[in-house]
Amino acid sequence: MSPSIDYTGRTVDVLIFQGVVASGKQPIETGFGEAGYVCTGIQKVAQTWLALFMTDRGSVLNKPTRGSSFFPAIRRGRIQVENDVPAEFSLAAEHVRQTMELDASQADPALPDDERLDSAVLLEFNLFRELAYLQLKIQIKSLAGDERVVYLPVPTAIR
Amino acid sequence: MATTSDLSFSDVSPMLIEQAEEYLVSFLQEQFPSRDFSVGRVTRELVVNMAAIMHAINREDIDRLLKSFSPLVIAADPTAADPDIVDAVYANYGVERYDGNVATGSLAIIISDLITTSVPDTTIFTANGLTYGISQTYIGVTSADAVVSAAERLIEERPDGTYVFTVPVTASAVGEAYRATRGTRFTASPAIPGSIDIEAAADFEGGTDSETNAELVERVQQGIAPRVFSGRAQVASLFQEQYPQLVNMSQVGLGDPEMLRDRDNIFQMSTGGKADLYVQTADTPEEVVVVKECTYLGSQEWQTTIGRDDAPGFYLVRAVVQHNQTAFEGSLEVLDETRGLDLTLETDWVHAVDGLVQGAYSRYQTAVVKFKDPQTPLTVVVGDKEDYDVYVLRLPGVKTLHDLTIDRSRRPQTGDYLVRAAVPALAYVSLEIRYRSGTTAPDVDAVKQAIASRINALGFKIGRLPMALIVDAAQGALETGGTYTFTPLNLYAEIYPPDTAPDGKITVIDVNELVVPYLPERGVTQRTTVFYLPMSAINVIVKPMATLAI
Repeated sequence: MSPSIDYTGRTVDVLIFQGVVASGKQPIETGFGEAGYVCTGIQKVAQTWLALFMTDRGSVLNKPTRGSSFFPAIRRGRIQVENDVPAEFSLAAEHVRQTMELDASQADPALPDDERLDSAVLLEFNLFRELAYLQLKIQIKSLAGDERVVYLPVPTAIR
Repeated sequence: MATTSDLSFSDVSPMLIEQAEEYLVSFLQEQFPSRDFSVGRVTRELVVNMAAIMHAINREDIDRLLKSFSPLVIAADPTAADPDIVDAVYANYGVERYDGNVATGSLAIIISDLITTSVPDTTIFTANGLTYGISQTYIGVTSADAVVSAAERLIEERPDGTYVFTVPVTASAVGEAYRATRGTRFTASPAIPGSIDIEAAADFEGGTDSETNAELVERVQQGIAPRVFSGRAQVASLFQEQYPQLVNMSQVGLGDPEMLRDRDNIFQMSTGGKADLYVQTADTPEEVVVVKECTYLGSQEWQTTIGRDDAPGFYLVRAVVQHNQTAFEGSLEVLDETRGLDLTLETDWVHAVDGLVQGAYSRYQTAVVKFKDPQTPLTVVVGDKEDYDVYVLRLPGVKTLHDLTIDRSRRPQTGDYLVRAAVPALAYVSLEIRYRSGTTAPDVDAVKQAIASRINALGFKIGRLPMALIVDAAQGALETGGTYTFTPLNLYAEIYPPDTAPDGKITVIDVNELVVPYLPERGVTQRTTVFYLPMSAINVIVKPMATLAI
């Protein structure tokens, strides 16, 4: 874990996950927020990763390689048993990692290390068949060593 | 004023969106240096990217408007102008685009047995990759008593022991390409039970293309001239207004070597006051069926006259068959065809025309056709009358335009303007297209259409049929990855000079270029003659070509 970072002078991105707190569990919602919140550092990495992970690959106009295959995999029934979850996650996360790496290599000016992805690891998952949702616990880590854990609930029809 | 665009995402090129995105990023970064506009960030992907798409659509809309907002810019590049905006602009000048029309015709359904046969209204007929439909269900019936409406079609026996009935069909879209010629083979989906063949019973009628921007611009420019019999621009304007489908026209008059009518004096000097207006009123001539009462001459020989109203300005008698014989093969033997002129007064005045060289292919032309029918019953005696179907090749609209020249209220007081169908040069082209083995074979119909479209638009412009234009048109319809037209080509045309029509044709053959001969005394020069090249006269051979793996 890196020490506290001085974010003065950093560029900021629009925050689309509202309700984020510095520590502890907190329910969050997607949206631009009434006050127009912004973020930087590891939060930027986390939301970039999540936005890509939750975007269906091929659904972005003229950018067919952006997004991931995880949600399409669920909708198309490729996840039927617990063992399918890590396999599909790995496939999707690897694609997101490659995309973010390519984006970072083309960024001008170069991105600071705490805004670049190092890894996204599936720490744990729970499949709630009766409630029809899948919960993913994902650790996102920047090249600078910052980490954040995200709980991602995914609606699913797996029975 | 509409505030919405009719563009869709697919109308805007990805490159334009990418450029718009880069422009917006650059612009916004300067204004908001603390914002992260890097690729992948939410600001970039969810905000800027969406704005770039809308920006690109707006840009495209503005570009379309800039290329179409005035007659001047439209004329500068008609192909770049948006047709809807062009229509709106020219509407201000009272000019409307000619929309074209759909081809209609009759299909002969040939069946093996004399049994009631249904053709459902959902049947789609296809020929040369183009589709045609029918407006109602038709039923081929075996006896005339069963025919109680247009839906029942009487099945008739053919000489070869098969049976046939006809159904009227309509093209699925407007356009010249849909004008099928007699004998064109069709397929039906779903298949018609018992059918062994389907073909066009006669040349289709109608089927004209919508006016392109370029054609509209040309017409508008002609329209600026007064629509009266006067100079060439004015006459062209008048004819275009009267007959919007007019493809090309050429006017010969005082001083032109092709003008023979104003030299009818003992000195054979041009005295002026006359003009011959050669018109091409369709891309290619069409075949029409004229039912003629024929007189028996004895020895199985019959005779009839193609009157000046039967097919005004016609080119050729293509075939004579027994009346109502559908989808015939060949023709009865035509023994003789003698052209003449019928100069009977229609109004208070008639053109000065002396002989075929001056009047062939005009509305005054007639022909006496003598033919032999080996199936003439022995009971027929000399002088008996019988109907026969005569298939005549002609251009439409000749009489419509001719009537302008004799209408006392419109014709010039000092001039004699005679409308004539362009002297026909019926062309045939054979070409070979080579493509790499293992790749998709080229679309032969698309190639034929491209070539026909290019050549039939030439009109009187060059008096030539160059190989280069054919190859260029063909290549435009081929994929660029190594498919090519093998040269030289086989080019062939039959020109029918007015003075010797129909027998004294001039044949021109070459591999590089066909040229209209310069024979003004016979009425044949570039100014009078048009090469016609229907799709059916284009033979395309497709050959795969072995290539080495690389």
